[in-house]
Amino acid sequence: MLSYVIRRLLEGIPLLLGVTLIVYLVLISIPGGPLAAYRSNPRVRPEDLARLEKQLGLDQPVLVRYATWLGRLIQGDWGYSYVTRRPVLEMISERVKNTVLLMGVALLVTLAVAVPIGVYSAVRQYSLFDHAMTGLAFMGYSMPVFWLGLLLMLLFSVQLRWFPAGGMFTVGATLTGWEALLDRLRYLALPVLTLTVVSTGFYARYLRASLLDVIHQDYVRTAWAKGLAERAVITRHALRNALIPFVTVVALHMPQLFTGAVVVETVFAWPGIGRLFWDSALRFDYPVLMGVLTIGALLVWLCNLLADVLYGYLDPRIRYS
Amino acid sequence: MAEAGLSVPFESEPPPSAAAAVESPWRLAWRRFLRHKLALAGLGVLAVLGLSALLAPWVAPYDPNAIDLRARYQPPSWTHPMGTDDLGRDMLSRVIYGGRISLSIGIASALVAVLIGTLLGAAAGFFGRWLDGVIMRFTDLMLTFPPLLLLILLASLFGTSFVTIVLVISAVSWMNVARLVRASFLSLREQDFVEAARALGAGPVRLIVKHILPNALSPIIVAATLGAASAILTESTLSYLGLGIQPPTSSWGTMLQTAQAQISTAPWMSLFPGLMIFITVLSINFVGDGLRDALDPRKVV
Amino acid sequence: MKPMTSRRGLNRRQFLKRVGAAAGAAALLGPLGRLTGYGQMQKVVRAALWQEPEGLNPFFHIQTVSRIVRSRMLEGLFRVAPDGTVVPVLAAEVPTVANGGVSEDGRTVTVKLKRDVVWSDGTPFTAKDVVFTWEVVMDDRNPVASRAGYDLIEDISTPDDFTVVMRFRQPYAPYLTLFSIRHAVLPRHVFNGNTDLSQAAFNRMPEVGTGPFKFVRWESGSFIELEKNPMYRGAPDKPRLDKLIYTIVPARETAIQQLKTGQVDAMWNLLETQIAELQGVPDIRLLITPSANLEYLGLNLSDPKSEDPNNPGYTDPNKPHPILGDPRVRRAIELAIDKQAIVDALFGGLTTVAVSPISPFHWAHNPELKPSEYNPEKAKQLLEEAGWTPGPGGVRVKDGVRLDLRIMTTTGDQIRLQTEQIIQRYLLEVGINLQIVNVPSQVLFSKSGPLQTGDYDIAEDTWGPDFDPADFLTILFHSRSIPPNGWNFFRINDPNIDKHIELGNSAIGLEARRPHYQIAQKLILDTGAYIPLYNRSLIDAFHDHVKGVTEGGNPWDDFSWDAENWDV
Repeated sequence: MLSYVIRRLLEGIPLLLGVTLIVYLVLISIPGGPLAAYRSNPRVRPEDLARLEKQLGLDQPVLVRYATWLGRLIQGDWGYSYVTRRPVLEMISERVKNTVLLMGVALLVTLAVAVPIGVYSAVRQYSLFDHAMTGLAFMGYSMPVFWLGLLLMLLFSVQLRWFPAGGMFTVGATLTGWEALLDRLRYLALPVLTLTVVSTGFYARYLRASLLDVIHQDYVRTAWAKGLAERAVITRHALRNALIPFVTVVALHMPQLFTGAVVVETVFAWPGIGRLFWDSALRFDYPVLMGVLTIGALLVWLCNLLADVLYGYLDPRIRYS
Repeated sequence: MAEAGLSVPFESEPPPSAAAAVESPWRLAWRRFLRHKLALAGLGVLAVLGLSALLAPWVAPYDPNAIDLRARYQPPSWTHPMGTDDLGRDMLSRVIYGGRISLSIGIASALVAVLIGTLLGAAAGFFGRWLDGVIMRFTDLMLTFPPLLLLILLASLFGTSFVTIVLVISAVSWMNVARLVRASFLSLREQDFVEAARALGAGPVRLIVKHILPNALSPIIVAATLGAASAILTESTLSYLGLGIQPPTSSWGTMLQTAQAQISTAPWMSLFPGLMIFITVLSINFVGDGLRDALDPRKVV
Repeated sequence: MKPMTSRRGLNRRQFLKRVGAAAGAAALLGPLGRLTGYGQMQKVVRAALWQEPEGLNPFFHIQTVSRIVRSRMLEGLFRVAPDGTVVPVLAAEVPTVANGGVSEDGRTVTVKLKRDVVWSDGTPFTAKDVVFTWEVVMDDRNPVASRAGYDLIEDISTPDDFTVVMRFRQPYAPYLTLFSIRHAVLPRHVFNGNTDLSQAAFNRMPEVGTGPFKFVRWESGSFIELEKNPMYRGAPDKPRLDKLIYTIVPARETAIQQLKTGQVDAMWNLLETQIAELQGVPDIRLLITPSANLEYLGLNLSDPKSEDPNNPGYTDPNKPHPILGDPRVRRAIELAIDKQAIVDALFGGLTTVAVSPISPFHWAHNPELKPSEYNPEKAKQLLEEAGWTPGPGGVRVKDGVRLDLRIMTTTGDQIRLQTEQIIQRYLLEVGINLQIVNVPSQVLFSKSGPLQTGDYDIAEDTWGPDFDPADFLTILFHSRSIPPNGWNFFRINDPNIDKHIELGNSAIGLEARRPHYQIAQKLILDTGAYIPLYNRSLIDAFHDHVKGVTEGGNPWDDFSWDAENWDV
């Protein structure tokens, strides 16, 4: 197992290098460039543009720029934003806690809803409950997210006035302790609800399928045959095994805790990484984009490895060599 | 968490257990599909939507691009069942024509993604060795990008025409098909009937197309179906970010995006395109679910 | 327990538990009205911006939102009042030739400063701060967006603490824009005279200023909080607010809902199409201010397929456009568009038809210019004269070539896309087929974009002059600015236009400059390559409880320009 992990870790290095190079090449090929915003301003004359270009190092050949970026990265320097002139890592870390909070709570709520639904619809396959849940689950992930978010906002914020219409906390209020927590929960409610509606179906269906797969296998039938109570069969035998692929699929989605959700963050004015990325993309802020994508890719890769290891750990039939 | 269905495509099922060949599998599958009521309903809805999109010039009551500045923002009525939009155009006609774009983007993106995925997966799985290594490393590499972020970059790079949108969506969604196909090929290529065909002198192309592919088709079909659904959602996300199809042509996604500004004053402008996306994606997902149940040999009792 | 009952029992229990939890949660969260937790003690206004400022240094960031936020804290020597006159802020008076502030040759400008101004940390404001600011602008280490004008200053001297004398290499007519309007004066003492501000914390946290408000904190992606500056000149009466908080709400739709629910008190920059969303909503009023920006069509005079031998990749300005090269076709296009109908339909009378690149309320505007007439018959006649005869599908043909043109604009601006589609219809009525090909703005304006390279036929865009139109007219219409050297993407090459722009740019005093700019406007319109469509507006919204907002706003400034007068 250990040698397998080490091998995979080593394999990751060229992979991540490839990712950063491809992203860099894609980025610089997008028409526009970091000076696009200045270009249509009559006060910024060609001589000003030339000066700025030189300051940002944009007059260097592409591969030289990439090599410089990579060289600094290896020394732990993620560079400075072209737009705000601040350290990239500082800009990312400001946002990361917000994204983790939103996506983490959403994931927990989603799982809390999806797991019971998945189990129950598998156990009662083709029952009314199963059909109803199948229908609802599919409805959830058949909606454009921004549309759903806006509709929820119109209903719960504007009509019912239950929850605030976007934001992360009450701006201008000085709240502490219990009040601050409540305030934060109010603001979390709608974005979390939106994310839960669109993703519960996926997890519930996945668990249902894994469980069905297991239920029909011999050892579960044996357990039934032994006359064990349904609850015992499901939890002790079937669920434990069905959770193996389920846990790995959850692990595979962990990087989203970092990359966030551009659309939900935009609709609900949530200051997360998704929006940082989108704002930076609009302004061609290469260092920030490279930072977010590289960390994102790193996490995707690590979580893949984690999922494989988990799978091997949980499922004794699988052995890595 | 699946935003805009981006993480849903193609990986939404655990890998199938070993395939078991049964008598006349396709007929059996069809019978099983008929039992899936939601899938049947979905198929019916899709048939209606597909027909109206195909026959748009005959079905649509008005020219979808006919501007009437005196008839802007009219709520639904007998003359305009879905109301009119910001330029006084008939929403129903625009929704019907928009369906052409949205459905085509969905189908085309799914087909292209499946085509790329199948080609690469088949090559990797069949030939193995270094080719397998190269293809699968590349697949891993593509999977390493956070999908929505990659989508934004590619869409900004290639622009917003129909073809480029299709290519961009398929570029971020072929990887799981490739993995799926490779896995089936790896197990199938060692099976007796393939060995037999090989012994009879069948070349690699014949082996792949005639012998292995038909047996690996079920997951591909399911993946293609679900892929079409998520492609339609992805297109609407792109539209939301301003990277969608440009006017006067409209997809449901772009119509929804434009309608946002009037969501309280002219709610019908966002309601109908939104509902159409919802109904279509839902129907496709039901059909996909039905296909999966029907084609999955595990369900044979 | 038998399986059946156990299952049911479990189910009901779970269900009840869940309902109970939901009800409990709802009770905890409670109904949401006016937000509580502040407001009794403090006067706070929260204003939503749909963009986050890049930074708050006046010289590094040209973005409007950056200027909005930093203008409350950092002031310039002058500002422009709503009526278009320049008024002193940190300066004591506006220097002119008449009052001796500007020398006869226009090369020396003397600015007298107010004597009672202190920075928010108590340090007196002096002429040294102005000199320091100039040194910052000229320091090569700083990412200064534009040095226009500053690089013409030969030297700055300070005969005393409250007098600044600028000597220019050549007369610089827009001298009133220096350290003013778009720019500001920086506090020298904060940096101990060190002019390298490239990594200064001040760029994001300008904690010392002379304005009515001072910086408190900036929560990335969320809000920027300012508070009353007790050292402000108007204190203790002004500002009346204790806090002014700019919140960042990226989707305008969301900000509109927040305004309705009272989560924010004001909102910057709505779209024209969103007016209806807030019109008639109780407690909310719209502030609609004319802006210097106007929507226009730009026609390409050069052949999109040609190549300039001196500038590979760019069209040759001397090779006329195969269709638009004929002035009769250009004239026909303008005659075919009913501008008034567009204004009536899309804006419900909230704006006016544009007549010139310089808006009617600008001091340099030419009042003799009138809206073009809508006359499709005359348009058809002109096209006939130009040899374009009716062809199949209602599209005209000449020598086997169809009258097909591409129209291009930026994606995402709904009112602009609407205009484009209406124009497409109007032109088809006279036999011109327009194909819409839109691109994102960063592509349209990029170095290798269609406007620069000349690979377009008609472009729709919004642009307008600053208070001083010199840069705008030069970069857009002077033959020297034909790409790749500027934004004369029409490729207008008229020595007469060049001459009047230059005269307007160099005469001293607005009165002397105005006639030249007026002639230039007339000449520009005569080319037919620039078709003005309609004047655009600035639309902002306020909750009724925000008092003291100046009626009509200030076209030269932003919606919170008078925040020192606001009250709640």
